[in-house]
Amino acid sequence: MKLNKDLVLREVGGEYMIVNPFSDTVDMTQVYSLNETAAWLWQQMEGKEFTVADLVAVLCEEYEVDTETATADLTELCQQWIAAGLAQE
Amino acid sequence: MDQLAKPTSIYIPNELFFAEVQAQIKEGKKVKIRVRGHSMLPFLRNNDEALLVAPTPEQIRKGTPVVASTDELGIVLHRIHRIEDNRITLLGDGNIHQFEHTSPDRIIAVVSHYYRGKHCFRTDSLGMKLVGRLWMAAHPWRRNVLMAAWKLKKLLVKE
Repeated sequence: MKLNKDLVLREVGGEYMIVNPFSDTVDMTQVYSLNETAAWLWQQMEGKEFTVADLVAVLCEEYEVDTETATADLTELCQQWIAAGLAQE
Repeated sequence: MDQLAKPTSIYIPNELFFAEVQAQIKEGKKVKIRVRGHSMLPFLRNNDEALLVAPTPEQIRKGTPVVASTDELGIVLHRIHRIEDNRITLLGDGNIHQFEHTSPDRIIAVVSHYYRGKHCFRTDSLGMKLVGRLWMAAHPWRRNVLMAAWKLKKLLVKE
């Protein structure tokens, strides 16, 4: 899986927003937000190929969370990112 | 663990959202936004979209729809109603009494296009400028015009 290379993460007043700054017209009719943990994961995976297992590994290294919970949450996260076009398989 | 992502529309305070819009416009981009509210009826309905571009001095004139930071309501998308020296008065197309005040340096963007479904309207086309002017001239009676149009539509279009 890979993050959509046309998108970047912006921090705006403590909120994390995903925007596409590379086209002449920036579409902000639908704004995607990430919470702090998801934003941190996004930053870890920028420009890389990754799997759910990679996300689980970095998350469990940084946060106190068991592998089973992390795998379930991150599988759902990846599905959401793919469905929203934020990442590609 | 909290929900990690909310890949849906979210509420971001206007000031923060438009700080990002302004940053993009300063980089020379056009920015498309979704309109919330009814204050620009009949030209913009709730959920219509608007394309914003960087303002030029020539565009800062009576009748131009702009996004600006105002004394009264924070950031709004309304039409320029009057210009007196550096004081600009804005009025939403659907409003009668709610005026807002700003200055040229607080205008974030000019609205160049309106989008409603598949339809796109250039705000600086001759037709839109004319209709806009007529609507501004109808200012005190706008609500009556809107009400009459709404009642006529109800009569003509059976649900």
